[in-house]
Amino acid sequence: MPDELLRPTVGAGVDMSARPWRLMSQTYVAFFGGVLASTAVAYLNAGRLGVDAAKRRLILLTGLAGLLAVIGLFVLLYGDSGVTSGLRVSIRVVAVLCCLAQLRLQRPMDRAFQLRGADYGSLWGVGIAATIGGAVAEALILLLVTVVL
Amino acid sequence: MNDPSEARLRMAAHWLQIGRPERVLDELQGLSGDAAVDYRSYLFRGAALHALDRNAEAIDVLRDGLTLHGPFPAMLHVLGSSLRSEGRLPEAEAAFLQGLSLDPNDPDLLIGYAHVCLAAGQAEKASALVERAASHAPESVAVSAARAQVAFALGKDRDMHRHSTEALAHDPEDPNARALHGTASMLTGNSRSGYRSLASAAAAQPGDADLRAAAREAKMFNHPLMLPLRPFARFNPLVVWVAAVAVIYGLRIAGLAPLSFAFAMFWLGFCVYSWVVPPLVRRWINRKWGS
Repeated sequence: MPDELLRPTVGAGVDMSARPWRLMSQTYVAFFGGVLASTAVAYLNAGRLGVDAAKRRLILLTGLAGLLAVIGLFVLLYGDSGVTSGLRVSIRVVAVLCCLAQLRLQRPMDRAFQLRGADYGSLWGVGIAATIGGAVAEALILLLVTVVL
Repeated sequence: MNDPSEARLRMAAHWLQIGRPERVLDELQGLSGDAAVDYRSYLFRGAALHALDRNAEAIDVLRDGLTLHGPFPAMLHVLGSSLRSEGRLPEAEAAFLQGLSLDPNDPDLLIGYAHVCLAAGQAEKASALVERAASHAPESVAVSAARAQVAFALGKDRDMHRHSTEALAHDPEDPNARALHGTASMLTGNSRSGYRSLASAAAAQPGDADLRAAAREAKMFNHPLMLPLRPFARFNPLVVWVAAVAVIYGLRIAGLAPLSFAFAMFWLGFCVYSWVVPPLVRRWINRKWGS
């Protein structure tokens, strides 16, 4: 009887030269940059960690859901008083929740990476670019929403 | 084989056993004739090079040995481990599977293969392999340590702590078990015992920079000034932040605006503290330890 457990399953899917980023560093990008920045960094990092395609799509989906939630909140809370602190905070809460979901999707492969004992890469450059780019893109989308309304 | 060569091989085995790989290489250097191509010469040299993290050389030596002497489990085990350390996971898998085709129930090979699966992100399969190893070997430090690593990969930090404690019960001196116990303690919020384990593991393996850094980080967490920041280490900082926002806005909605304001100010102070204090403590500790 062939032994299921002793059948080769390790593909060449893991790129050992890729240097992913620390999951905790990504939280800063999500906090300051918003949903789009968080999604971009999580998606790129998932690729570096070797997360499978289905989970990477799920990361994009959580990002899309987050963006829709942000637009929904904006439509609901944006009124005569303009952008209130409540609106700003709730948009940030959505980004943070979205980031938590994305971190959870990356975690198993991040743990595998830690067990391989290699070094993480630095998120400073990409992180700052994603934070600024994501924040600007999100602001433009919300501006478009005010024009449409 | 003449007696001096046999004595050298025995000596090399001894150095390997007590964790002095550089002495193994010195000892094997002096071999000549038949002894130089003895299977133990290849095995010990490969194992020593692997222990010294010179895995590319280890792979060459072990492949030569296997070509000369044919496949046998111990050599395939070290070859698989070296290939895994080099990140050549499919080749490492092939080496372990070749070994397991000779002896499907060899606990060392099963655990070695489990490590390859862990590195490839296949924690469930690794878990099944470790349990099969456990069913063929009496409970040992290697089985408990492997279970701890599987729990880490699965994100089950409490189980990791339990298994690493078992590993330490089997062998309190094992540096790998101590490092696992230290990591598990830090992850489950017990930074005091985490520091003890990591520091003793780092002392036992002075060459390991990652262990040193982990021990230093654990030392930082134990500083009295870091006490208020425990929630950040215990939970994801984002969760703490969402909870704080919920409290601030909850109080405001409940009509307790002054209380909400007071809590918001307290939270602001706490955030500033969390940004300023850790780098300062880290600097103090680094100055004391010497970078």
